Amino acid sequence: MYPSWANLANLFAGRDQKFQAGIADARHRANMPVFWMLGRTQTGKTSVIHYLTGAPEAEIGNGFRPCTRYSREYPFPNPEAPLLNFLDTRGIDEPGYDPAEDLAQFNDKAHVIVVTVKALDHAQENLVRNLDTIRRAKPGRPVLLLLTCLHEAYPQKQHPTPYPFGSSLYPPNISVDLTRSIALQQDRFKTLVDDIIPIDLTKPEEGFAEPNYGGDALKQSILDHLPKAIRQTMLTLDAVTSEFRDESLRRAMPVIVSYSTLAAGAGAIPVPFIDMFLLPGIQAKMIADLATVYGQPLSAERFWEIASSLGAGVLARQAAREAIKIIPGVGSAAGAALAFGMTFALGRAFCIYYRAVCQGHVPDTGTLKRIFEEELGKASRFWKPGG
Amino acid sequence: MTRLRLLAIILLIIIPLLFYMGVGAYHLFETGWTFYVWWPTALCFGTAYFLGWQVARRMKTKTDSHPGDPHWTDRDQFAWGMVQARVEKSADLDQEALTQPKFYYDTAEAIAKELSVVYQPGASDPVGPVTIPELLTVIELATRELHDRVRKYVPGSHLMTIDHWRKTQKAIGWMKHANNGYWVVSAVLNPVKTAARYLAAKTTLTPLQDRLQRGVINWFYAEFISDVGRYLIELYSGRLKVGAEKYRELQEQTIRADEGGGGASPEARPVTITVIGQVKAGKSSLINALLGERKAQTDVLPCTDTITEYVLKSSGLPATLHIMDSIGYSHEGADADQVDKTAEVVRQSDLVLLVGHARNAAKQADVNFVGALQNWFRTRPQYKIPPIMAVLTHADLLTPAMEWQPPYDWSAGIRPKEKSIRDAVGTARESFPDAANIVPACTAENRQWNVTEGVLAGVVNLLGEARGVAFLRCLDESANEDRVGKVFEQLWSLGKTAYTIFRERAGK
Ligand SMILES: Nc1nc2c(ncn2[C@@H]2O[C@H](COP(=O)(O)OP(=O)(O)OP(=O)(O)O)[C@@H](O)[C@H]2O)c(=O)[nH]1
Ligand SMILES: [Mg+2]
Repeated sequence: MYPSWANLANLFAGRDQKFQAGIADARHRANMPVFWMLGRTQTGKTSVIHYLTGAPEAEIGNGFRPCTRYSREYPFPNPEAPLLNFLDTRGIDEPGYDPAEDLAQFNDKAHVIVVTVKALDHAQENLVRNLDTIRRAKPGRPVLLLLTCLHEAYPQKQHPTPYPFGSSLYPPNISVDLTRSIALQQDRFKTLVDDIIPIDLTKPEEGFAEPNYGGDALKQSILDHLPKAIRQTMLTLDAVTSEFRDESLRRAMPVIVSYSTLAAGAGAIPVPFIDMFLLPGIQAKMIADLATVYGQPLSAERFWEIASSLGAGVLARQAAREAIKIIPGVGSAAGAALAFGMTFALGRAFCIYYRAVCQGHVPDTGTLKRIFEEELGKASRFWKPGG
Repeated sequence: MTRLRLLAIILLIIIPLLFYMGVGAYHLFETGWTFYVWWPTALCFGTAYFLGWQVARRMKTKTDSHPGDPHWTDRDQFAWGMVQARVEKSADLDQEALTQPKFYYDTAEAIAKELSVVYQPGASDPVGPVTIPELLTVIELATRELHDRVRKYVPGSHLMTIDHWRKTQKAIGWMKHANNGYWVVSAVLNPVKTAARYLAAKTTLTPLQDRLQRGVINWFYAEFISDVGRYLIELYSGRLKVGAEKYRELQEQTIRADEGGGGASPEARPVTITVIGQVKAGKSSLINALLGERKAQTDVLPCTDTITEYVLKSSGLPATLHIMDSIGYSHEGADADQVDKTAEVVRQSDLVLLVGHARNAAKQADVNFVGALQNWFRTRPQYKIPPIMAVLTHADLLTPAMEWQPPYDWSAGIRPKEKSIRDAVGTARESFPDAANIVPACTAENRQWNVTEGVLAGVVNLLGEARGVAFLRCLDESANEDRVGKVFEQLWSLGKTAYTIFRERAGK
């Protein structure tokens, strides 16, 4: 009656071309922000990604995939249903680097350029030259300059608190060296960037009382500069990750949000019933990924057992969603919201299920059903379509 | 006639002694003491054998393990390998031939042919273009060296004649005969005991004689090959153009300047060290730390925009160091001219300190700079690239950044900071596989670490190599100076002659 586990896996493994095409379309509609990171090595690019996504640094390192000769990308949380995408141009400082190739690939994709520069590092000849070319290719795209490693200006001292650069780059009580260096950087990049944010994102072992120094200012600046249409994903991610303190949940939530957003993208395809075909695949992949987060493999039978316990409601709503698409004007936006909500609620229900399993008891279907309904209600909080 | 008399005198002195020996031996034999006396004798001979063996071995290692001169380029080292191969084969040569002067001449010629192939590969007659003064210089330098060494290592060599040299061979043969005669006589007197003593002596005395004889002659031959080879290498690489006098003078000033130990000798040339690195790497700070006083200007913003020389002189240092502070690269403010100027200064220096921020893995600009330097030298085999020592500054900022409690045992310690320092050095080693040495340091004012014991000690270690670089450069400079000078001299005398002729004609 239900498709087998293997069938679902095949869908994602790319064996089914129709499915893949549908997913690609869904991804396109999901409005995933794409950050183009520019900066010399060791300037803190990975720390920025870590801060924005919450993914462990080692995972980020392994998640990078080469895409051009000088660049690589990191789709977060996974390549199938990325929420955010980070392009990292590592070659920026190499002698033969020519931005043409990266521009051809990324110019249309990248929404915002994030430039990382160590506050005290003035060896920026190559970066300035290449950034200039990239800036000219699309002058309207926001460029944020992050001045990193502030502590190098005051070795073995804690950061001044509270974070003083909220409203001005030249607050009082800042070390003269740092102020002068910031002034020079500002002068150097004045025509090349739209905002300058001094930050210091450090690993706990460095020993700073505030490891995310300036992090809030960074997030705010990104939200201020991201195009409206794609700002939502950032907000959603931020909302879900800041709400949950539990470690596994903090890892699981981006997965849920990413597949839910992808589902919303599928739901937004204005052709009725196409997502009837896409959604089970997306949801099954989400469950499989969640199982990895919790380290609890799930058999196909168990999956369908649980899914069908929630099933009646799910299927009825999906049918309703297709019907909505036929109504002119309401159409795909509502379809997207519902697809998001249902995938989100399904993911949440499974999280609770796994949690319980980890603690040694299996929740009954009634409890799961109740949770599903609750989460479906909450989902609308996280989903505000772009615009 | 005098010879006979001399012989008579010697015999008159020796015969009584021989008589005592004979009588004594007989007496020992009579009383049965021979057995006891034999042991101290054996002990003496045994010790003598051991000492002789050691002398011979020392002579052998002296030639075998000669690493080549510090100023030699890769091509010279290759040629040196060929010379060394010859030295190794010398042990199998016919001992008789080694006493013939002609053999040495032929050997020298053969080496010259062999080495010329390395330096003038395509030439049909590679030895042809060598000028006569150059060849004489080789001979002069090689024989002088050999002379010095023979005086130093061969006892009584100042009295030795060629005749003696030839006779060494025969004398030893004669000694063997005499020895055998002695054994025959003893055997008649006391066959059993003599047989026992003969066996004992055979195993101790005879090999010692052979070894000493072979040792001295072989050693001489090996030294000869090495010296001729060494100066042929100098000849082919064009370093003898300046003549033996100038060559030796420069050699004294550069390479051998610190052989005496202690402080720098007054006529020694200072060693020039250039400090390079990206802008704000801490070059000027490192120089201040080395000087022990704040002489070079440092700042958090790009500030050094000229090349400045600082002098470091200290009684503990075997050389005076001239340290050049250069303009940092990778800065959009530094124009191409300044970078070229830095590169030029680096080519003229004896040692390079490549300064990099320990926390910045962005070493691409440094790798490029070093690569360009290596290329420059690769196309000029007559010079040698100065040794490059990398200094990783800002070690205090490595993880954990908040901690700074030197001293740190970075090569073996287990504290987190020590581990980070070690990792940083490891990464730098990957970027600069050709660096002679990589040293971490903190060069910030008031927080210095590993500057004297690390950086300065590293510099002193590389002085030998640095002096080799200086020597090559000086030779080349003086050869070029001389060439111009000589042409002028010739033109001048030509002019004078013309003038005299003109005046003579005009006078008529
Ligand atoms: N924390 C720390 N700071 C250092 C260290 N070495 C130098 N500094 C600081 O780094 C800054 C730059 O040092 P400079 O010596 O002026 O650098 P430079 O390479 O000569 O710079 P330019 O000549 O302008 O290219 C100064 O503010 C120094 O105080 C170090 O080991 N640790
Ligand atoms: Mg300087």
